[in-house]
Amino acid sequence: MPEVNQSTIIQTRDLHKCYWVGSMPYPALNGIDLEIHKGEFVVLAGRSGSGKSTLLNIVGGLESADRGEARILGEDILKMGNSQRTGFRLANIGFVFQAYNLIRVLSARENVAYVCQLQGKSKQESLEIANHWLHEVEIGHLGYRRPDQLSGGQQQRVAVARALATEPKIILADEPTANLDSTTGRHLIELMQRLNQSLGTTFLISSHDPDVKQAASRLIKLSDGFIVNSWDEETKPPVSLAVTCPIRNRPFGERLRHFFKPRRKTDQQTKPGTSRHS
Amino acid sequence: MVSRLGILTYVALAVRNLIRNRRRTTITLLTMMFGIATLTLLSALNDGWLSQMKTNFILSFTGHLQIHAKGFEASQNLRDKIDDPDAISRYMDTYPEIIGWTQRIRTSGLASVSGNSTGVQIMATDPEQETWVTSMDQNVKTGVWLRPGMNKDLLLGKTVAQNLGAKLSDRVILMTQRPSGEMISEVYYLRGIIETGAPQIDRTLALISLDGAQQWLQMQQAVTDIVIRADHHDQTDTLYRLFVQQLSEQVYEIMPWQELDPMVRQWLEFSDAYGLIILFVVILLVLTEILNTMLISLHERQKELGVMIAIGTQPHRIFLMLLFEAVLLIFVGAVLGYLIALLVVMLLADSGIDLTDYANAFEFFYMDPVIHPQLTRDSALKILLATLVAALLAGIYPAWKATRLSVSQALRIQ
Repeated sequence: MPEVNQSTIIQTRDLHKCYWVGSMPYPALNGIDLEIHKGEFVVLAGRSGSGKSTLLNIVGGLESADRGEARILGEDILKMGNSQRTGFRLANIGFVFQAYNLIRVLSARENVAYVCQLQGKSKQESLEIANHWLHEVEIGHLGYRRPDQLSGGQQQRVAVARALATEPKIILADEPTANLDSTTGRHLIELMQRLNQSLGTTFLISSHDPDVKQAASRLIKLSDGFIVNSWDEETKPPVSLAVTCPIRNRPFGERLRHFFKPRRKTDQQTKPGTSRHS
Repeated sequence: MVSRLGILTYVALAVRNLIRNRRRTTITLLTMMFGIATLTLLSALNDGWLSQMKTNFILSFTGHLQIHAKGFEASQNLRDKIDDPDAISRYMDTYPEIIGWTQRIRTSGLASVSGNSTGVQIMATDPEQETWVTSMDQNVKTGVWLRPGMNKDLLLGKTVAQNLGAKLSDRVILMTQRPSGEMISEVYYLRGIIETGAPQIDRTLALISLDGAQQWLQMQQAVTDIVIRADHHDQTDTLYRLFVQQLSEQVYEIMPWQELDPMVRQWLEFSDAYGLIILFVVILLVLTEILNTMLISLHERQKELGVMIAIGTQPHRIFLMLLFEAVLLIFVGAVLGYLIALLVVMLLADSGIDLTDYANAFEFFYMDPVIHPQLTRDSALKILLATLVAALLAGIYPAWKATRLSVSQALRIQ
């Protein structure tokens, strides 16, 4: 087991992830080594397709990796079963999504109370906690409204309250301001910063919003599945598809298609004396 | 960590999800209601006419149970007779399930009127006792029923009378054999013509009084049949068991109505099977509709379900929630459909559905031209059970599919 600093809350080693679109491999993460400490307000920056959301999903146990390890609070989340991972998320991780993703049939306070009830708290206690957190995110008066009766900014505040209601050690936020106007986005970031400072909750946020980047206590820049803080984008090492996208990780249907694919000999192979690499 | 989200929370979630998609829920509910109402009505019609058929069959001639001397039903020979019917008749008052019984003599013979002759089934019965067992007295369309003490009265089936060209008061000569084998004939007077609606009876029946027949056939007190009518069809089996216990199998044969006419029994069994096929087809249609709705609903809610799993809902709870939704949808639709059918059955129970124009072909199956739908407890339970099974089947697959959801892919859905 690699050495884990007492304050290290998220640690990834050699994390690889490749997506297959048909027979085309798209490497999303190319050996990510990352350490995030307790109480940090870390922002993952990078263009679309740089691997921010994939990294966040893997750290949050929503997705598996092809290779490497992801230790959250000292436990390798990639080695957990589905049910164990769900329980681990509930106990330790809060999520804030780009599209708010509230449960549409529940009111704001019911959305927040839902996760508390999942944790085993009574309905009454859960609703009290929900009211508290809705006040914390400054929308206490909107608790009875359903998501479709709230603005985008208000919905995202409910999502933040929901993420905090279980008192998680980590909050993962995927582009939390992307669907908000700049003023609302700034208010949300200020709110998250304030909560980070007052509660000591670790925030890992993926974003390309300059306001969010500015608020970060540490900025990690991703490009094409690499962390590029230490080198320029032009000098980053080449991607080895054999390492990042091994054939065994292809979807089963693709592997079958690959297996049965007719292999035609090329002209170069049929012409005697012709080098294949010429 | 034990979740406090009880069943009620998931029921509430299921209800809210159903209400949220009003149009889809309404269309599915209407389909369900229509399916279950149709199924219940078909079942009620089936039960109604089957019950009428049974009653008509039993009341027209057969009774619920018959006791014969051993071997009589096969031989139809007067030598296979019950010599001491009173030894059996004493049981009749002890069983409250019996509401009527009579003694009969049955034998084949020949009827002649003015040079016309035809083969007949001569049946001799006690004119009063017979009215407690069958409705033959009510089927006298012309003339009168057998009069007690009038030993020369004769009633003929409608077709027999037509074949013989016999009219009321005509002299009819009946010819048959005594148990000894001696051929005998006697003159009777036609007092009535019976039309039971069952062609095999109407074209063979020659009905005379039991007292006169016993003298004519020199059988003393002997009879060939003891015919029993139960208070209800369902009591036939009970009575059968009671008589089997009391009477020697070596001396008597005890036959319930189903055995007396295998064709009717087969027809009833076929009708039951037909009812089951209808039940199966309708349930299959309903199941397909619900399955379709649930799969569309699952497709539309992939993201939401993905979010629920992402924030900590265990997949088995998602499974339960979706299953609740399917069961709830089907349950509400089934109850409403059943109530509609119940209302229609209540409206039609007295007047019935008149199929006079179509019923002639089925006459020999003792079918009434007016069908009175009838909802029975057994059918209701069968429909309820089948609906529940359909609900579970329709709910299980989408619910299971939801538990296999890729959370990261679901979250990417725009």
